[in-house]
Amino acid sequence: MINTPGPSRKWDFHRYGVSLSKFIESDIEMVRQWRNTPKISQQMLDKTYITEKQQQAWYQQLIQDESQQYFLAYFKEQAIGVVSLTKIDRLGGTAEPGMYIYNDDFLNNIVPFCVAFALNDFAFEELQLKRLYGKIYLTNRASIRFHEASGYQIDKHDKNTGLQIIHLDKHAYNFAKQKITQFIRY
Amino acid sequence: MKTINDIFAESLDIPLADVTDDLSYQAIAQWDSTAHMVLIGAIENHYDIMMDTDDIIDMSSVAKAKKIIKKYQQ
Repeated sequence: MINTPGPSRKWDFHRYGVSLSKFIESDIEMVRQWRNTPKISQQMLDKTYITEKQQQAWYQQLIQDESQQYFLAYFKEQAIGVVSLTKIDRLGGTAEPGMYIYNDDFLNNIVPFCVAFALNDFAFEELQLKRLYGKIYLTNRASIRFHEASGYQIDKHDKNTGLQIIHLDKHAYNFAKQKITQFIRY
Repeated sequence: MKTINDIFAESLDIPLADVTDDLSYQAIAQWDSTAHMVLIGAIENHYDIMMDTDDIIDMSSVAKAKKIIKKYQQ
């Protein structure tokens, strides 16, 4: 598995010690294996197993689709997870962010905030979006706390899916993140 | 005087009796990313220290926390 940056690697955004690099073709098999690991797939809304053929087809569609951007997240030059912006609506100024940390060494500390904040800053500053939407399970207490600490506000609860719809506005985000970024001293 | 174990118990919202040197962030659900940052803030305030981010990341157990705090107090 390739999890260190190679010569063809391009950094698209760097902040809080995290570098984001858009998927390149050589990433997608590693990402497929990460995504199919039960600890990751169980977090997904779509938990189905992804085959090599499906992954290749998805990637070919992704590189032509301006409404989606997927990145490998690097911390200390090591690929530790995946972040994404989907349903990017440039006119409406919205998108849906996604994130998972594959490397367990970087869970449950400040690094998930570094990764999420790098993606949020990219969305609000580089793409000039105004609002991010998310869906989280009410049973995932850690996720709820994480998103609240990041400035997300709760919209509504979908009783059919058990999902909570949440949103993040730029102003609320910039206010909330200060409490965490004061500890990011790179 | 408040001890490091008291700070862990308050920040993670767990009984003091559950705070042992072996307690690590992979072991209990209460020690999530958000609780970790509450814990770091409480430690820095109590000991009047400012830790490097790498130490904040490395603080993965009570024993490691004690070792890291000691480094800043020397």
